[in-house]
Formats: sequence, structure tokens, C-alpha cells
Amino acid sequence: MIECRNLTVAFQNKTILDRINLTVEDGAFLCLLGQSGCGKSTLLRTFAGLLKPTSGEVLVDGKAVDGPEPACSVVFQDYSLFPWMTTGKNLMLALSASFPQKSKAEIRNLAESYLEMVGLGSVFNQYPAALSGGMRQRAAIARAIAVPSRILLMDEPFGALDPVNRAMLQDLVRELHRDSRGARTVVFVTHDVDEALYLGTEIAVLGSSPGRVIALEKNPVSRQLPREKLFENESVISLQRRIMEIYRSDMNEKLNLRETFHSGNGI
Amino acid sequence: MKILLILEFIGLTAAAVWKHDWFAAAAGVLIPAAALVRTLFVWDKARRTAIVDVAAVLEGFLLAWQLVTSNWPVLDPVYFPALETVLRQFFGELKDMAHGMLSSLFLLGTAYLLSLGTAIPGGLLVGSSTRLRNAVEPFSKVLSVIPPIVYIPYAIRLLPSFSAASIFVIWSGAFWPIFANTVAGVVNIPETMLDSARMLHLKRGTFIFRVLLPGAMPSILTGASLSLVFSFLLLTAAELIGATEGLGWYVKDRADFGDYARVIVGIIFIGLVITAISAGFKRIERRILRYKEATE
Repeated sequence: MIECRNLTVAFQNKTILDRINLTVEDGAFLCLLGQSGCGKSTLLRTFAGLLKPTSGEVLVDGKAVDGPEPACSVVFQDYSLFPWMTTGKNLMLALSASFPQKSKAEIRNLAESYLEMVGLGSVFNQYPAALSGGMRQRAAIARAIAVPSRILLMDEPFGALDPVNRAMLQDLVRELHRDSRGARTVVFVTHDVDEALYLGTEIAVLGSSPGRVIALEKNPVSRQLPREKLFENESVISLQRRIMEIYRSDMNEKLNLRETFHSGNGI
Repeated sequence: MKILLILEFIGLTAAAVWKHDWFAAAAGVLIPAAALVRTLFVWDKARRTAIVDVAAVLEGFLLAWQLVTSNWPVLDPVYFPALETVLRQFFGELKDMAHGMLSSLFLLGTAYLLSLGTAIPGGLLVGSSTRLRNAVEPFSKVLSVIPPIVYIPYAIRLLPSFSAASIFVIWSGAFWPIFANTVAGVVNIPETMLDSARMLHLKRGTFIFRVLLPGAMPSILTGASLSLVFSFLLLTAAELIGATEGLGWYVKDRADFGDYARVIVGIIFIGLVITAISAGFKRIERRILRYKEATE
């Protein structure tokens, strides 16, 4: 469980996140939705312990996060894998840090089986540069779920992928969220409303300047629906409308701020 | 260029045989022959042309040399010895020069490894701490621009032997390019990659050797190859001043006796040695950075 209490993050007097209060229950799949620059990645980094809050705190399972949080693993949009190691070695590095008592052969077997789990059985000895963007993200996901952390944090992981790969990886993540080991907790950053509707059991919309939670919606039905039936469902459609409306009014608010034009930061 | 090469080949061989310059004649035959054999194993047309062009330039240069020093000796033979003499001396002096090379390479290798061994750990340390970087930067800026040659008199006075002095001078020159590039290499590792590493909870040593060092490696290698060239310059400079053996000393010693044929031989030999070492370095560099190639 992740709890944020009055979380505020500021860089050089500019408030990025303003008094965020948010709880992510065990087994939830929370999508953080917001325009670019609203602080959703910053929020994810504070969850991971990669960023210290200016005030307030983040608790994981009741303990305050202080430094890189062992209960969390992270998948970024790019650069998650180390390019100077083969894909297999990338997994082995993570695994041997998590299971120091296991032998090298065991670690190797584990790495192979996790790569197979994400459909990458044949790329163990290939360098990341030789893989496509989709395959690299698959390997990054394999590495993130191979370690025993129960919370998976994903920062726009499919932002750079083509639509086909993106759909396939969304399905993979949906499967991995509830697999044989039970439910993982996932926090998934995206600016794509449809992606959030397809994946999230909960959707938090972040408003911009400064970032704060402007809506928190439950999305209980979409998990029972296959992709092609998703936008035929009444409750999903009404949720989509509601979120778009919130999105739009936030954007209008931002447009009405004179500083948006003067600072040139755009929308 | 092929026709030119053939004409030069006929010219050089004929001129050399006419004067009974057998080494020169052999060179005249061997250069086009080597080029011909090389082109048989190269399929790329542009590279084949390049091989012929290089052979033609070399053959032309040797032909001119042969003509103005042996067939029509218009140049002062003391300063411009005949091609034949230089080639003969080259083979005669190989043993002495190889001995000199070993002594030079010992100094160079020791000093170079010493600079790698100090500059890389130092650079990794300074690169990974902003505070340390800010503290060190003013000093490294000033110290790195001082030409290390100015330390030579001081080093010779203070250090117990010539070897120690020249190792110090080479080290002080080779250190900065490696150090600066290691720091830059660490600073330029993408923040996301470091975050990704932090989340793996690696042990400190693992983090340094599996993440920081390889992350900075492309930049480190750039610095190391700069330093290698630099240390050759310093080595020969140091040897010209106080050595009793080595390649730089060899050239200076022969020049003191007015033996310019051997001076030229020594210069050619130094060129060959440095080229070979640089080529070896490039191979190692390519091997280390092979992961950047997108294909298997």
C-alpha cells in the first residue's frame, strides 16, 4: 500500500506538486493521468524514493520512503536497460542483487524464464541496441517483475511505441497485474485517457500548475472487458466523458492564465 | 592511378637496378606487389582504389628520392642520404632499435597504466559528486592546460632517476585528458539510467563496475586515445633531454654524430611503432564498444 500525505515537491521555488493526498491499495492498478508537465512523473519518482519531497511524506506499507524504495521496481520510457550488457545480463544483474544467496546457474535460469514469460525467449545474448523498442520495453518489464518487489511503477512506458506494440504490451501488463503470484500493485503514468481506461482499476487525474489530484475515479468494469468491447460499455463511456471533461476544464484554466503565454511553456 | 603506379614501378626499379641499389629495387617491386595482393582480398571498390592510390603516392615518393639522391645526387648526401642507404640501415639497425623500443615502451607503458589507474578512479569519484566536482574544477582547469614539458627540468632535479622523471612527466600529461573525459562521461550518463540502477539496490562495488564505469566508458576511451598520442610526444621529448636509451634518444644520439641516415631510419621506425600501437588501441576500443552496433 502506498500512502501520500500532504506531499509537496518544489524545485527552485516552483511548486510542482501541491499537497497531494492519495492512497494506492494493495492489488490496485492506479493510472496517473495528466497533461505533460503536470508532475505525474515527479509523483512517481517520489513514490520510488528517487526524489525527496519538499514537505509531506510517502509511506509504503506504513513505513516512510527514504531513498530508493526496495518494495518498488520501475520501468521508464527509455534507458531502463543498460546498453553495455546483453539483455540476459541485465536481468541477471537485477536478480543477483535481489537473491545474493542463489548460484549463478540458478540466476541464469530465472533470467531466462522471465524473458520467456514476456515472449523474449531468444534474445538472451543480444544487446539492447539490437532489439526493437517494443522488445526493449518487454525486457525492462521482465526485469522489473523478476525482482521480488510487489509494487511496479511505470513511467509512460509505452509512450514511444507504435500502436500495435503498444496494444500488445498493454495486454501483457494487464495479464502480469494478476498472475499466478496474485495481484501486484501497479502505478502507471500516462497522458492517454483510453490507455488509462483499459488498464487502470483506478484513475487519478492530475491538474497542472501546480500539480494536484483533481479527480479520483474507480474503474471496476473495464477489467472484465476485452479491448474491443471496452468502449461499448455504458459505464466506461460515461467515465471517459467525465475524465475528458475534467481534462478540458483544466486545460482551459491553464490557457486563461496569462503566464502560460508569457513563459512560453505551452500546454 | 593504376597506370601511374605501373610507370613509377618501372621507373624506380630501373633507376635502382641501374645504380645497383638492390634494397631500393626490392622496395620498388614489393610496394606494387603488396598493393596488388591486398586488392585481391578486398571487394569494396572504393577501398581497392584507395589501396592503389596509397601505393602510387608511396612509390612516387620513393622514386623521387631515388632519383635525386642516387641517380642524380643533387642534394647534400649528409643530410639527404640515399634511399638505398636508409633502407639498408633500417634492416641493419632493427636489433638496436627494437632494444630502444623496449626501453621506450617500458616507460610509456608504466606511465600510461599509471595515468589510467589514477585518472579513471579519480574521475569516477569526482564525476559522481557535484560538490566534489565544483571543488576540483578550478584546479583541474588550471593544471590541465600547463604543458607537462615544463615539468621536465624540475622532475629531473627532484626524482632519483631519469626513468622516474620521464614516467612522472608522461603521467602528468596523460592524466588530464583521461580524468576530464571520465568526469564528463559520468556526468553524461542519462539520469534515468542512474535512477534505474538505483532501484536495483546494487552493492557499491557492483554499481561502480557494472554501471558507472561502463556508462562513462565511451568518453573514457576518447580521453585514453588522446592521452596515448600525448604520451608519445612527451616520451620522445623526455628522451631527447636526458635518456641513455630509447627511441627518442636513438634519434638524438645519431644526430649528435651527424649520422642522418640513421636519424631518418629512427624517425621512420618511431612512426611505425606509434601507428601499430594506435591501431591496436582502436581494435581494443571497438571491441569494448561493440554493444553499440545494432546488429548481432
